[in-house]
This record gives sequence, structure tokens and C-alpha cells, in this order.
Amino acid sequence: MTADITNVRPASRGWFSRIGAQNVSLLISLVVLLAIFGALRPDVFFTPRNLINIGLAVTILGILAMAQTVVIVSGGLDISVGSIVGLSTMVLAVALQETGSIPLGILACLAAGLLAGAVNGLIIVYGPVNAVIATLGTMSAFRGLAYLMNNGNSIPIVGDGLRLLGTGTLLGLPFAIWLLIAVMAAFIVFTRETIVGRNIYAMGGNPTVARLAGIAVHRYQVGIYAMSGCAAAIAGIVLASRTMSGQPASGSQGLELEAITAAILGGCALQGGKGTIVGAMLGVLIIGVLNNGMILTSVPTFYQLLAKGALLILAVIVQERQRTRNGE
Amino acid sequence: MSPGRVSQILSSFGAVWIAVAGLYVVSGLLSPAMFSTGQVINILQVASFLGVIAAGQTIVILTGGIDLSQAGVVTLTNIVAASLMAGLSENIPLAVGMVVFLALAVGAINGLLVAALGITPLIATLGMNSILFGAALVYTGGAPSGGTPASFQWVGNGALFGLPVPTLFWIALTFLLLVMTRKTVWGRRLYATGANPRAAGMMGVSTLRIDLSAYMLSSLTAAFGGLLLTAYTGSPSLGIGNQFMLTSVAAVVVGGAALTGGAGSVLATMGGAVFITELSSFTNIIRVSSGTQLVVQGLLILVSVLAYRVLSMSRRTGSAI
Repeated sequence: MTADITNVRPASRGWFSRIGAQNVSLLISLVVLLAIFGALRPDVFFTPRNLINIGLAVTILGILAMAQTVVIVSGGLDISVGSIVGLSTMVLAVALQETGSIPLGILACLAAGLLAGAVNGLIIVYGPVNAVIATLGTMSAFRGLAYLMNNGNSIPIVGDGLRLLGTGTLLGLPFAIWLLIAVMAAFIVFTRETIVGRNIYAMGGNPTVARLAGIAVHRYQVGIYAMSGCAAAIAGIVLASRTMSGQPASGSQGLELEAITAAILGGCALQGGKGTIVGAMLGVLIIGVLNNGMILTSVPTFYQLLAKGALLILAVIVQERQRTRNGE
Repeated sequence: MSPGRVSQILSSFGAVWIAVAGLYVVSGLLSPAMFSTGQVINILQVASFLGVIAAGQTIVILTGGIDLSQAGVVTLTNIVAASLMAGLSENIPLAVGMVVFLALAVGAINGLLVAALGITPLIATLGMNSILFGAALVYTGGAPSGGTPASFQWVGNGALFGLPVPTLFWIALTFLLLVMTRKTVWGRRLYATGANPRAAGMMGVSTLRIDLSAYMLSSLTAAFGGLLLTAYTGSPSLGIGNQFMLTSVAAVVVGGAALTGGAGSVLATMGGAVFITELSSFTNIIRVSSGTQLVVQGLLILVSVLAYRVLSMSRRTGSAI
């Protein structure tokens, strides 16, 4: 028994220190936001239903932001993810139409995302092309492909199998939230506990040293963008399960920019080498709570945009301050 | 003339002009309508909006930055100008003055965020874009109002010496910026800052001032582009600027500027803007689906970046010989 207790305590302290000073400030901001909106709308805000709503609203953004975090940590940027989301919903809809099998449809969708991401990686590595330009180009190209799949029209998805993913619940929580939690767990383990994950941090911190240390930087980059594409496809599946259709234009409403915003808010440095999955998720939650709270307190849509832009700039200023104070 | 010398001339003038001419011939052969004078003038008129906006983007990209808030400036300009003019000629000076003031303020804030606070340009200007678009929504309450008087619409639709007025403005602006970047001390400092900010700083260049002036110019040309567009359409629209967020960067990149800074030219960006407009006009004429158009646009960006890389490599080997 005593052995158990001594084991537990350092582990929990380690868990706390692992959150990091950066994330503590995010956590505080999140708590402050929760307190403000909770006080303004005590009747609605903290109801389980509303909290689940917030979770559902951030599922897609969360998945994209976590993948974007890994890309940014490696020193890159992927602004084509929004287009890949749209493309993957189309692939899913077509595959379901052709095969009628949900596993096959999902497989095709994930493969399409993986392939699109790998194309990004290959262009960036073997062009070599600056990541912003490369994914700017493929953002347009992937969107075009999505339009070409059905002359720019959406494709309805019939059958209840996929709908279940969008509406079903397990232990009171919707499937989509479980999926988000699973993806988050996978990303946390990947970035913290695997050698590949740690190598990605080394690579973003200093690519030359990483290469000299024997990290296959090029292969890593292709893999990271392929992973980002695959994550976008997962987000596409969630989206398609809600709209029950393949929408070529979906994901085009600045989804990639919101994902980048969340990652930056969560402590990613665009120079690479810095950023955490937990931080990104805190960033996503802050955005989600802010959106939800502003709607509940009837802040006009117009001011919501203003608030988001100001938040992004403020977050980066605070971070920059912290970095200069740390003498980096 | 050695191949090295040829590519040197090409890079100072903009190799993109060869692509512009090539595309013109190819598209004209495939669809003779492209050869008509009317169509050429039409392309030059439409290209001038993108061209004016991208001219300022070039200056920012020369410093190694990027300005994604131009879209917001265009939209806000359109909204504010139309509302202040309210269809009356006597309000034009007030509206133009207000728009220019707003643009300079936005550019100054961008410049300070980037140069004084050290925020990554992509993020700073992206946040600013969101703020500007939000401000346009707040200003209008979602329902834009006002309009331009007929005398102002001449600026967007009129013609002088057979050329559309926006095109003439575009040519004059490009020429002015060309002289500023190539013949003045400020221009040399601009290129030096973009090529190596640290070295430029050590040489005594105030990189803060250079960045500040670059972002202010970029906002200003976005406002000019917005005014020309407002004169062209004659009415306010909240979505008017969106398309320019990335196309203005694309025009600069297609023109051959390096996103890392220090390399590029406003003349080449002019070619980039013509090329992009020419291509979309051609794909419109031959009735290609919008999907194919998007794919072509994306490939264009990638192909042009790769082509410039090959070109610069041949220049390096050429001068070595």
C-alpha cells in the first residue's frame, strides 16, 4: 500500500510540472473565461448540454489544431488542411455511393487525406518549395479537385451507419467527443513518449543539427504532412457525419487559419521546435468557450470577429514577451 | 551574350513577362476571342485592381514579411468610401482622405507589431485582417449602405488615351514604386533589410523604420486598390476584399519574388498580376469548370516557384563559367 502512495505522488507532481508555465497561463485564461460567461449566463452556461455543445463545436477544430501543432513544431506550416477536409468529405461520399460499405468509405477517405498530405510533403521536400507557398498552391488545387468530383455539387450520403457517428452517444458523451479524446491521447503519446515525436521537436528546433544527429529529416517531413492530411480526413469524416453529405466547399471558411490560430495560441512558435498538444487543445477550448459564450450572451456576430482577431494578436504578444524574458 | 547574362536581364525585368506573352499566344490560338483588343483592354482593367494591391505586397515581401491584412483593408475601404460618399460628389475628398488615413494607421500598427514587438508577420497581419473585417461588419451592421457618385465611377470605368483609368493609375504607381525601390536610398535599405536584417542593422539601417514604411505602403496600395474597385462596382459589398488575401501574395510569387525577402521587383509583380488575370480570363472563355480553374491556379503557383528555382540555378552556373 505504502509503495503505491509513494508511486502516485511524484507522478502527479510530474504531471503538473509537465503542464508547463505556458499552459498554466492558458488554463488561467480559460478559467477566467468560464467564470465570466458562467456569471453572465448562470442559467445556461454550465449545464451539461451546453458543455457538450462546446465540445462538439470544437471537435473538428481540435483535430486540425493538434495536427497543425505537430507540423508547426517540425518547422513547417500547412494551410491546405481546410481544402483537404472538403476533398475528404467528397471522397467519403463517393466511396459510400460506390461501395455502400462504411469501413471501405472511411478507409478511402483516410487514404485520400494521407495521399494529399504526402503530396504536400513531397513538394516541400523535393521541390524544395517553402511550406507556405506549397500548401497555398495545393490549397487551391485540392479545393479544385473536390469541385471536380461532382461538378461542384455536393453529394448526399444515405444510410444510417454514418449518421450514428454524428449523433450517437457513449456513456452520455457523443461519439465525436470520444473521437477527439482518442485523437488527443494518441497525439500526446506520440509527441511525448515516442522517439519519432521527440525527434520532431529536435528537427524544428534546429534542422541542421537534427540531420547531423542522424534524423532522416526529409522522410520525417513527408510523414508529418501525410499525418496532417490524414487528420484533416478524420475531421472530414466528423463533418460529413453531421451534414450527411460530401461538400466540396466545406472547410473553406478559414478553418486552416483557425487551426493555426489555436496552435499559436497554445504556445507554438512558427519558427518550430516549440509547442504542445495540451497547449493546442487549451487554445482550441479558449476559442470554443469564447465563441459559445459570446453567442449565449448575444454578442453580435460582428464583434465576435473583432474579439477573435484581437485575441490572436494579444496571445502572440504575451508569448513574445515571455520568450524575450526567458532570454531565448 | 552568355546564358548567365540573359537570365540576369530576365530576372531584373521579370521572366514572368515571357510567360504572359506565351500564354497570350497559346490562348489566342485556342480561342481567337482572346486576340481582340476589347478582351486585352478588359484583362488590363481587371488586372489593375489586383496589380495595384500586389504592388504594395511586393514591398512587404521584399522585407521578408507578408501582409494578409490587405483583404481587410480593401473591404473596409470599400465600405467606408461608399458610405461616406453617399452618392455625392462633394464628399469624395473626405472619403478618400478618411480611407487613406485608416490605411496608414492599419499599416503602422502592422509594422509596429512586426518590427517593434517581433510578432511573426503571418500571424500579426492575419489577426489584423480578422479585426478589419470585423470592423467593417460593425460599421455597417451587416447591411452596407451608400454608393459612389457618377463622377467617382469614372475613376473605375473611364478611359484615357484608349486605356482604362485604373490601368493608367496602376502603371503610374508601379513606375513610382520602381523608382523608389531601385533608385533611392530607401530602396537599397529595403532590399538590404530583406536580404539580411541583421547585417542591414549593423550597417546602420533602421530596420524598424523600413518595416514600418513597407507595411504602411502595403496598406496604402490596398486602399488604392479598394478605391478603384469601389469606383468600378459603384457599390459597397462586404465580400469584396476576400479574394485578394491570397491572390496578392500569389501575384508576387508568380512574379518571382522570394518569400524569404530581398529578391523581387514591382515590375515582375505587375507581370504576375497580368498573368493570373489572363489565365482566369482564358479559363473563363473556354468554359472550364471552376474546379479545373482552382487546380490550374494551384499548379501555377507551384510551377512558377519551381521554374524560378531552375532559372536562378542556371544563372549561378552561368556566372561561374
